[in-house]
Amino acid sequence: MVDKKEENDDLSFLRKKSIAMCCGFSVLSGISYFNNGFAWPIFTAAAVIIIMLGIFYPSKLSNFFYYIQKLHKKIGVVAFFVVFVFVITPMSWVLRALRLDDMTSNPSESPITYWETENIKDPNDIDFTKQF
Amino acid sequence: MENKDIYILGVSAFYHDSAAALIKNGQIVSAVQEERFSRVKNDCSFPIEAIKWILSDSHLGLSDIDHVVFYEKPFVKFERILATCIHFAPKGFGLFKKQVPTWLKEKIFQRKTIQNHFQDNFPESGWNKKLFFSEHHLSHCAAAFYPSPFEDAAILTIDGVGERVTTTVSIGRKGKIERLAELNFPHSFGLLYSAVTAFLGFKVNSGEYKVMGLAPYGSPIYSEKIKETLVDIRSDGSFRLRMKNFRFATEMRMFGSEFEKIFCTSAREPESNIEQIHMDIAASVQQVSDELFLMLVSYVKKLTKQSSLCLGGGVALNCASTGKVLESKIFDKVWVQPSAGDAGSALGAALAYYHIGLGRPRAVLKNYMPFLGPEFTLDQILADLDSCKAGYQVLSPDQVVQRAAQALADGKVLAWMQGRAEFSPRALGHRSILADPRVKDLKKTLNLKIKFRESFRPFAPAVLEEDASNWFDLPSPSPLMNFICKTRPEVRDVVPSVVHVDGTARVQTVSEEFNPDFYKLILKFKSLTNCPVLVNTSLNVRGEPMVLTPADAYRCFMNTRIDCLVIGNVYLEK
Ligand SMILES: [Fe+2]
Repeated sequence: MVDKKEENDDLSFLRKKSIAMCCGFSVLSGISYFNNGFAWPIFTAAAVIIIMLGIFYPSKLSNFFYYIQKLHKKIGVVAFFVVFVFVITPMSWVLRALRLDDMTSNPSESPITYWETENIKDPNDIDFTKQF
Repeated sequence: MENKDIYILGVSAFYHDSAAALIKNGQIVSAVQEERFSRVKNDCSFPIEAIKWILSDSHLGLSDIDHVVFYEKPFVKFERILATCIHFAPKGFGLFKKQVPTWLKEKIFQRKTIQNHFQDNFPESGWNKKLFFSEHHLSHCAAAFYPSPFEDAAILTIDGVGERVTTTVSIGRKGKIERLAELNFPHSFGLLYSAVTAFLGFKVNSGEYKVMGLAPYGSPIYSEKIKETLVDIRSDGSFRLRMKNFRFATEMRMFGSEFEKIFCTSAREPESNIEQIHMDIAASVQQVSDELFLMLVSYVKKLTKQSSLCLGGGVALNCASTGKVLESKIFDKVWVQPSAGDAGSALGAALAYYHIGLGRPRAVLKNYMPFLGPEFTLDQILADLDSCKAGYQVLSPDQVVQRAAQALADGKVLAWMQGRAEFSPRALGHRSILADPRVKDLKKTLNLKIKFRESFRPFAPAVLEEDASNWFDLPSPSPLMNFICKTRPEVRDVVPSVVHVDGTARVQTVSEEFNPDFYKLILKFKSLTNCPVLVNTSLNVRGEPMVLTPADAYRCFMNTRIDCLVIGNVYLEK
């Protein structure tokens, strides 16, 4: 009984994914067509194949989506690397140059206390409704 | 006008040790960690089973809860993670690619996630959806101060890291908490201790106890080196870590290869042999911890001029250091929240919201005992045992104490489960394994054959409060097992099983008023043996949380070499 339910859930998940992917290919096809691209028939065919498989043989798509997911993860890492190198790192240099980075990573040479006593948020003023 | 009761549910989750707690008109009603239900140690998942039990225990529905309070502010935590990535860039891609996607995908939507958990599990509840957010260290402060027996007190909280803060000094006055000073990430003594814990091959967030237990076997030969290379401590107790030697801010690990140069050894592989050098490293970091605590507490005294001190945050569970604080007499009185880690913050968040958010007054508790978890009726116990096909005897309360005390006096190891479960990582006589401390090789037997844990781990004594001063050098009662103190030299050979290698013990004093069942048992044991001390360790085996139900207790009993099991008035023997 439970197995049957799980199987149905899996199939409906695969169908939803195939609809999403069909929409994606349709959009690509549209973009390609309106830009006088040559690839629009390929995207259209892909959209049709995916939605057909999704409707009639969703289980055949499970391997396909597995590899897509793997690819997606790899693309994700690359995208995050690009963001890290081209956004985070320059931002770090700029903030450091402007002395706006208030985090410290090394002990100070001057014989001062490390306690922070200024600008402390008074617990009595905390807004409990906010997540920040 | 109708005086309606105010129910507040505190929740901590999604990092480690998730828990839930309920207060009614500011009075603490119940609290329990999710791990006790899920049987996953340090479970960090949303504490749904804990919440279900809390509501059913008080015969409430979710619609009766006026306010749900989460223990920290997720956006501030995310901001700290981003700020860390920016600060340490171009290093830190390892942390960035691991943490940021998880936050963007799930954690940033914590309000929605929490609401979904409630809606999925209580679909018909009619919950008012009033969800509030405390601040991480305010929750620690509140958990440390509000249940304490002090009208006014200084509060010191130390942990790994909350949102951004790692250490705070505050004053609690009546219902209010005023913060005076703080230290911020990445400068965290909790993270330094955890880095050394990881270097010694133990698990971060749960192996710190092992480092503390290992320390007395070593010499603190590296403590100066730690202060030179890992942490710069100023005379007022404030400190900064030398981040080039740590990796927790840039990678998904705690320490760098520099640790191997500092300690002249490679990192210990988990489960490999423990050598003298590992004990020396443990002793050294523990000595730095003791020194730092004393400096911090002196500063807190100077700043607050209070006579009482409350300690909270996970590092306050280091009872060797808190023992030194008590011994120093810098403060006349010291109180440590027994659930000082993030689990206790479920309670702290609820209390903070009641007293600060709603501005309600505080009634000082005379003696908070953390017996806030589930208890079981005789029918429930018998039903559980029957389902396990266990053989048992139901005795009268007096008979059960007599039989248990006799078994202990005969050198048997006894599992003792009475009343409500502890809301604390320590067993205080409600879910305990007990034994006669006079037995010589007991420590080895208990560690290797019953708890299945490292042979160096010490065991704690539970002693009748009125006899405590004859056996231990304890300046005041310690009913919550929060302090390590010296054992009196003349009794060290009498109770070898509870005396650590350096002559210390983590004492629990037991009084009739606050722990009556356990008191009766020790009293009976004393009448049979003239010894008012028992070995007391938590009823669990290595890697498992403390038992919760009679069925858990029975399983633990059957899978170990425990001789007898007492659950309420039910007696089982092998
Ligand atoms: Fe914490």
